[in-house]
Amino acid sequence: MMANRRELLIGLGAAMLTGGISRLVEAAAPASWVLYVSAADCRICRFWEVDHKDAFVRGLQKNGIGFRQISVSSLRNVREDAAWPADLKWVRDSYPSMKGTPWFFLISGGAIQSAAYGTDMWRTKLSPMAA
Amino acid sequence: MRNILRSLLCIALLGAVGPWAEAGEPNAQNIVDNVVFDLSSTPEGLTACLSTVRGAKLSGPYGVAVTLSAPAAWDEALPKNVAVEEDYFTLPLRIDLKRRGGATESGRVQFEVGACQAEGICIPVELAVDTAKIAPASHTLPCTG
Repeated sequence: MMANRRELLIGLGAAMLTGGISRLVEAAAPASWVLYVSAADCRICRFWEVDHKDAFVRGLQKNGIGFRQISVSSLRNVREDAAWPADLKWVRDSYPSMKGTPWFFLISGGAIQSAAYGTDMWRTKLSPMAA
Repeated sequence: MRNILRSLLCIALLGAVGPWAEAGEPNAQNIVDNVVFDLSSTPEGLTACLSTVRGAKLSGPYGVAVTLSAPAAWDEALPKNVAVEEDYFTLPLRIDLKRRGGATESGRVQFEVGACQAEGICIPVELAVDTAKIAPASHTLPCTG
């Protein structure tokens, strides 16, 4: 009986701890975030990463916006299934005509708020969000 | 009144001749997504001269992939891939495809390149052409930088 009570308390504590951690994770995860899609053979992507990525990510963080990145193996197939994590496939599936790289998506509340195709569009549509 | 009728007749004649003249010219140059494919047939096979317009560049690591629908007719390891370590190809880029001796059969030739556009996006660009429709090379060979 004593052992059972101890196990119950341990279980209860673990459940509270787990719940607390998951709430902490939820609190830490930003409500809005930018998804950047690049390709290993996309030179424009490399140049953007060298010239703009760090400052952009810092600016986003300052404004409470997160940043995620995925890289497909070739711009030949930006829809490459293996490169897209399960929780992001819906973004890819929302754009059936997606072609080439880079792509930038602003995601908020589980929906795509804005999409930028190429660095010129990134500059006009998403870059101001990091200012 | 006679002048007006004459003018109308001239316009009608020009309208009729224009499309005929266009149809009579060989269409050796193809432009797809700002990539210019200049194709010409030679006694040895086929020459492709690739260049770009509107500030586009051809990705070096992506390369150029050439496939031919009748591989037995060509003295090439297919698909033929041309790539460079540099970020972009130096243009114009010339690619020669050699036929096997005596082979005359036609088929489709397909080119695939990675075109990086001035707007800051790289996209795959493809062109497929019937080799029988490619015009012979003119005296002045293309593809000199």
